[in-house]
Amino acid sequence: MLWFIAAGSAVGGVTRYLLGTLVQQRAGLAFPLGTLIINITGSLILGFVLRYALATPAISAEVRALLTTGFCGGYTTFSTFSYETIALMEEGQHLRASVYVLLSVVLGLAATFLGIVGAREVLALRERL
Amino acid sequence: MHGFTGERVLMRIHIGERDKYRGKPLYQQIVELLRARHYAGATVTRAIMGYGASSRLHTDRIEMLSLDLPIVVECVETEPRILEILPELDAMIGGGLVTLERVKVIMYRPHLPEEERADWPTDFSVSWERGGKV
Repeated sequence: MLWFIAAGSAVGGVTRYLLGTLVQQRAGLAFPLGTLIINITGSLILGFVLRYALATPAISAEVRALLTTGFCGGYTTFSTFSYETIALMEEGQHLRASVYVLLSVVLGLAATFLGIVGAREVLALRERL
Repeated sequence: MHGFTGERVLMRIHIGERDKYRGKPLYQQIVELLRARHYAGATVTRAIMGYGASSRLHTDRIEMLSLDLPIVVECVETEPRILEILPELDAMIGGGLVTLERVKVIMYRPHLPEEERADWPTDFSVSWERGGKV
């Protein structure tokens, strides 16, 4: 089980590094957009994968762990989000920090919800076919 | 122990924190080289933000951009000694910025109590050897 999680986390972490840097280089110095996008997309993926995987016997607990605890766990980051929020506040950018927190939480939850709805729809579609 | 006053050249090297030479950090290799050749001194500073020749951004405020922060290595020495080491540094440095400035060293001495500082007097004359004022 641990190896499944390790494998997923490794891929997730590296994906975060590569994708996050790509986004952030374009976003500039003013706002941690990279982390925000990573966390929102990760929430979307987790919502979908977890709900879908629990509903089908085709995906084992180990594979489920690889995708959720592993990949999504390594891909998203709460610690980086926290650090960047504090760093913004240190710079006196309190409004920007608040916006960052708000967007991260609200859009993150919304993305998770959409993922879950998506899983439900795909499962319903499979039933009909 | 050493010290001096007078006109010198300040060499400033801007590189990245992750730049390596032969497996070790480049800034460390540069300092070790200068020290091995008995250069007067070197100081390394980590910068908090910047961009360079590749226009890649770095800042300590955003985790994703904090992974290769700018490093500045400074060395003050005589002009011939600086020019002498440049080819070796050029071979070690993959990419970065190297500048040379003319400076007037008014004080450079080891830590000593007040009574023992006579051998290294501070130069308060503040004028350039080649003429003109600072």
